[in-house]
Amino acid sequence: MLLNEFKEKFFPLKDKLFRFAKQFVKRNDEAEDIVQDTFLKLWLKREDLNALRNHETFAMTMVKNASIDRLRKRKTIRFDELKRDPENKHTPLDSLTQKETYNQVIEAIKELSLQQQMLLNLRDIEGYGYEEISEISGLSINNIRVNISRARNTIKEKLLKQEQDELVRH
Amino acid sequence: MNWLDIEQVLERFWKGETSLEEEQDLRRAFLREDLPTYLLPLKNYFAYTAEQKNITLPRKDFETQVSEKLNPNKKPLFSYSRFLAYAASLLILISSLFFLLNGNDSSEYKPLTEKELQVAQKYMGLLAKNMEETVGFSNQHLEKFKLLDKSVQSLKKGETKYSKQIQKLNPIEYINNSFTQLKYLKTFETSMKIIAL
Repeated sequence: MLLNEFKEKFFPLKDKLFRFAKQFVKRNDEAEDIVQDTFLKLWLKREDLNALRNHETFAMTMVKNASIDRLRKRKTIRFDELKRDPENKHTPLDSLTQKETYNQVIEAIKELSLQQQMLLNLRDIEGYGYEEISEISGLSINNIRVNISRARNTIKEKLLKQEQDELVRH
Repeated sequence: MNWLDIEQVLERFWKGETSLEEEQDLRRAFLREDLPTYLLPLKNYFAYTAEQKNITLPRKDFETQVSEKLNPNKKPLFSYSRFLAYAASLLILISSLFFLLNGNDSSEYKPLTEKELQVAQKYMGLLAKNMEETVGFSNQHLEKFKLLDKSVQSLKKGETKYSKQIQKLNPIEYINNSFTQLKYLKTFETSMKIIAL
């Protein structure tokens, strides 16, 4: 694969890859590093890239593996970093009310396992089909459906409970 | 789409049974101003996922920086396709060499005589016949095995039924009943003795 073709195929994925990496590592700088490393690794594999059935799921899988490696190196996975991450100013959540609103959702998502968080990200944010999610995650479609259903239900219950609690308080 | 339809789609959404298109419809529905009050707490989830999709990589010169590092002259790593190509070429080369060295001497090739051909045909025929018989014999035995398997299955079913019925029978209850009956019999016997006296 030539450089121009490589750029045309992979550069438009950079934001998607960044969001996926950030979902694991929580920090902007680390997520950027992962995406950059992934591009460099992909370039070194350029002779095999034309044979790929789906270059996007391949890149996403590489980002997933790199992110999990980072987490392993850190040894302790800190799920609570998202809220305290100073670089969250780059997100489009501008007003304080909006942040508070989404904090309820963020809190609910934090209760999920890392795998469920990943599956929700791929389905509900990135809009991938179950087959593509299966390629990226390495899980069976049935397993993915079950986990997504559990994750969504956990979030639904948390949000409804929070609403009830607020009504009781008022 | 009315709210009744949306609620039905939403029910399937929680179960993970919706298509991507239906999930898009849901997202649009939750942005509507006439969203029923009881669905308001869930609106945040759909709004959150939509917002998350807008997050972009913060470093603005990212593509330029990566482009500088993508050196077209730098040799690629081990390539699987290249390895396969080399392996195939090597195999063809070795096969060709082997054929050239051992199997290309046309002077040594002598065609079969008519008698030899007849003998070969005869033995080939015998071989085919034997194979046919063996296949038939195996099929017969396979049928027997199938019958045996059926019998084993029905025996297992019978065993399960029997064990279930045994479980249903409560032996203690039967013993209790027998004791009660025995007690009545003794009372009857005593009464009869009293009457006789």
